[in-house]
Amino acid sequence: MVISSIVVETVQDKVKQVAEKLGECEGVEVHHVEGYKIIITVEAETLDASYDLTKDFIQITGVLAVNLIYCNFEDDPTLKNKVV
Amino acid sequence: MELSRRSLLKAAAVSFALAAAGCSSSKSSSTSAKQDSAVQPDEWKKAVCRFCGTGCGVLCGVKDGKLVATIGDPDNGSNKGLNCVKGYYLGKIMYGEDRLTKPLIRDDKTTKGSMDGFREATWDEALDLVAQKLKEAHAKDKSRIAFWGSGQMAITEGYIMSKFWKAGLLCNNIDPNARLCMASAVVAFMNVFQTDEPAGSYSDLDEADVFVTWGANMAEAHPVLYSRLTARKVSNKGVRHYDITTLRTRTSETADKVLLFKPQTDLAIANAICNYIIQNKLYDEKFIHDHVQFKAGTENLSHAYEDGYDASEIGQKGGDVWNIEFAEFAKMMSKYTLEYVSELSGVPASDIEELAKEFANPNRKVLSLWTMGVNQHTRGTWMNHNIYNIHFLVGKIAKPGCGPFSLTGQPSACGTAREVGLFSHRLPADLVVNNPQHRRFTEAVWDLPEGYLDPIETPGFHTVKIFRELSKGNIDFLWTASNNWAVSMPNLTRFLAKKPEYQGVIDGFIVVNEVYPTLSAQYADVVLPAAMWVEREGQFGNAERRTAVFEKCVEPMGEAKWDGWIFVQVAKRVLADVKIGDKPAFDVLFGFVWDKEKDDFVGDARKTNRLLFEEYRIFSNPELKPAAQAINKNTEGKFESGLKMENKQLAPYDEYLSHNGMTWPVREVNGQWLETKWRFSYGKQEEGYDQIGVETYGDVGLANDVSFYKSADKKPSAVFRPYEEPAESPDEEYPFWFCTGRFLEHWHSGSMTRRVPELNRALPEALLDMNREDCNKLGIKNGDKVKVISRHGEFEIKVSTAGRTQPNPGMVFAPFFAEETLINLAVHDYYCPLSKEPDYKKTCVRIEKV
Amino acid sequence: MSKKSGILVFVVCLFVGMIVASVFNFSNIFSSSDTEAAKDINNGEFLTGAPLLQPSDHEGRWEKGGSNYNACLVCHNESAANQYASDTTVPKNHFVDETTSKGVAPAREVCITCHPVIQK
Repeated sequence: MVISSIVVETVQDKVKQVAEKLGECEGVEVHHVEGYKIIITVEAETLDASYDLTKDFIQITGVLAVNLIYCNFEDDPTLKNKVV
Repeated sequence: MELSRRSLLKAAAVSFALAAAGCSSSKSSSTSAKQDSAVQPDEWKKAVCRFCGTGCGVLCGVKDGKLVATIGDPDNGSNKGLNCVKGYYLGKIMYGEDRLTKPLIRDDKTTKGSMDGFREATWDEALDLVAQKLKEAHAKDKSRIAFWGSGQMAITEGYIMSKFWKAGLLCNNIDPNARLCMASAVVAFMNVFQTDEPAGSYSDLDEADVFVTWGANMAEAHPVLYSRLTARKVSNKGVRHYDITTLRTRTSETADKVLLFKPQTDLAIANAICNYIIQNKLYDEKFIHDHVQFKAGTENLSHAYEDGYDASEIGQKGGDVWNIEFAEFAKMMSKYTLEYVSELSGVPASDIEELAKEFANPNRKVLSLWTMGVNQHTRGTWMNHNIYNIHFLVGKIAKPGCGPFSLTGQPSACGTAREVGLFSHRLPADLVVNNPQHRRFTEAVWDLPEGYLDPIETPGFHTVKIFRELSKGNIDFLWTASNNWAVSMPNLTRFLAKKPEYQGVIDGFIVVNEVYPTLSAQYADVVLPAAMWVEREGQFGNAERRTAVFEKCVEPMGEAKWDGWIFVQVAKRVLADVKIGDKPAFDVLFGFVWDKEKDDFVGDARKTNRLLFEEYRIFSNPELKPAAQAINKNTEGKFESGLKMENKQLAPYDEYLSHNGMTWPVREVNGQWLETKWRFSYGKQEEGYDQIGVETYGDVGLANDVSFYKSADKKPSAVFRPYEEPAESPDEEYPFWFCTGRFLEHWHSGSMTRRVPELNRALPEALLDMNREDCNKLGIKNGDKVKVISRHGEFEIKVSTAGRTQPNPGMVFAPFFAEETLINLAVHDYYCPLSKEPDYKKTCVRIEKV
Repeated sequence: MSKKSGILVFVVCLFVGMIVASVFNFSNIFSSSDTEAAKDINNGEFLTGAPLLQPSDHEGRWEKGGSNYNACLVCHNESAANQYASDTTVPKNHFVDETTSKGVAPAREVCITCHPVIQK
């Protein structure tokens, strides 16, 4: 399981709609909305899945930027098998 | 994962994000920190990028005599501060390890084909040798010498060469590499408008509603213009992009519709659009009435398979045109129904119809953009005509955001090759050698006796002819500068003596002005090390007619010299005993700029360039010289009409420096010099319209407030041009179309960009883009080496299915920047009969696994 | 679990996570040797004002992101934790009015015009 937190910046008057839309995405939990920023966490099985999920956020109308803040990936099962 | 740990991590994640979102960005950008640690320049100078025809302004940071920074110039109207990756790495192109710094002489011709066999020489020895060989060859037979110039030469360099070769040597065997890129566009401009270069401005990209790219991969070849296109599209709903192409490219990414057509059928598609507009009565009657005359021309031109094509009957008559009525034009066009053209081209009829409707919609501003797909075409001139025909029928030209925009490939194909007239048939400022009035005007500007230029009334050899004759041993002396013909000419198997009957390149005496040991240098007898880019002061004129100055920033490396200095030094020797009238020829031509005692130019780079430019601009400012003005205005009535030379008016040199480049015609209004963004368009000069041009020579109050004052009867010509077959078509023996072109990271033959580590690592090899189905059928995998074989030659290359371009089955693509993968060994040299520009896009090949 | 030991566990996990990150070779996203190579190329003789190139592990990302700069901004923005993009924040001059909240300037949308990918 990979856990990330993201700040999504939106166009001023679209914050609520975007927050709703985000909340509908699988693995996404909306924690806080302030001004034009939305704080969410994303949980996915692997880093790849996490990336795939996140990259589609900008397609949502009103989203200006998607900023990854924190990512814990030590429990990504696909990474455990890789050795230097 | 334990629930508690997970929630803990999540909580931590959220708190981090809250903190990050809450605090204002106190974190300074690490990238700028990196830049702080990089070297900071002492001073910034103005320049222009020396790569594509976009002509981005560049600011050069100089420290301790070295170039340490290049960034976009925010005050240059062409690019507004942006460059593409090549432009940003300009600072490194001069510092490749193997930069040529001393003149080189090859004594043994059998060593040609490598850099071995050269010995270093002094400038005096090299110049004396070059001059001696040139003088001898010229005295023996003028048709056996040639100069191959470039759309990458600075304006003043081209001007010096034009005077030396045309007036000094009275020879028309002088042609630029722009023959390989823009000739079709030029000939069409002259046929249609009787004046060269587009009417619009780059600001059209910010205002169009519909973009149509005709065989143009702008994302890779005109990247900064492409960013303006995408910016316009992204910020405005309803803006559409139609990509008319033979294979999908990066440019196709933004397209709403990609019209994939069978090669050569672009001619038919354009006609289908015209036919649709005519049949549905969607044309602009008033515009046609006020501004358009209709013509037809010679058809069934066949192809220049044989060297004698130009002299043959069809070769001689190919350019003929005659007036017809609109009704006949419509009748000729009626064959090009949507069904017929859809069948011929493979493009769905509905797509062609959709595009036709966009053109016909009076509320949609349509911008057509094209370069090599249209120009490097065995009917390239015709294809240019066909695009103009559409725009004429709907009156969409010379308006903001709206019109046919012929994009230029090289940085100064406009400014130098075309405007200075470095062609076998031209003189400066759109004048031509075979027009007596044009010769009289040139004589007046250059202080030559009347009639002096009559010996050059017959055009000389165009590019392909120069190299075909060279290959047969009919050129004794060839001099080239700012190009790399051994990589970029087509049919290299013939021109590089790979065939026993074509050994001319070995036998001829070849002089190459060069900066790196390129393949062309390897076939030279003498290599003269030239100053690169901002190692000299120069000027370029870009695709939107913007003339801009690049300042000298650093001294040339080693003993390298400015091309202008090299040309004058040779001229001084060659013309030593030649007189023009009763004065020494050299004094007449170069006395104003050369100091004999110093054996150098009269002043520094700035002063010298200013002197040359100020004389050059007399051509478009004839009031500066009464004798010239008399011919321009036809005051003595000796000719049919005046010349309207002011239609390309250039400003005084220093205006270009203070304005970071200006688009001509530049007009003086109340002591200020104002540029023109839209030629032929009536409106306020201060806002960029061609007020003075229209008021002086045109008519006010016509349809769309335009007046084509330079065209015959002020009416540009819509010439009907049919679809005709390409020179080769796929068959059993050669079943693939082989298309060639350029990618973003490398310029042309890569002689500069491949010596920049970053650019080289971004695109290290030339690969053959192939369709996966074709690969499977031939048992080829991504990365396999194959042989590409045509009727003309062959080469080896690795295959790629990565999709940089995505050809359909039956087509393959490769870029030409890699000397070790010399794709032009296989490309045919058949050319457009009107423009003499070869077709690099449609050689037929077969592919064999190695 | 008390708050103190909870935080201790968290810090340990974070620490472990970071070691894990540096020790394991992540094939898809975190190929540190490629990033090093990119730094070499870009640092070779850094030219002031020149754009950095993408390391070769970024091959295909532009296209995968739908040819959209926003996909790049997910990692290359100033607010990100920047464990793996610390040197490559998109600078202010890429944004409208040099303000990140106004979005990337439309003319700079096509990142690969200036930032091509280093080929393997």
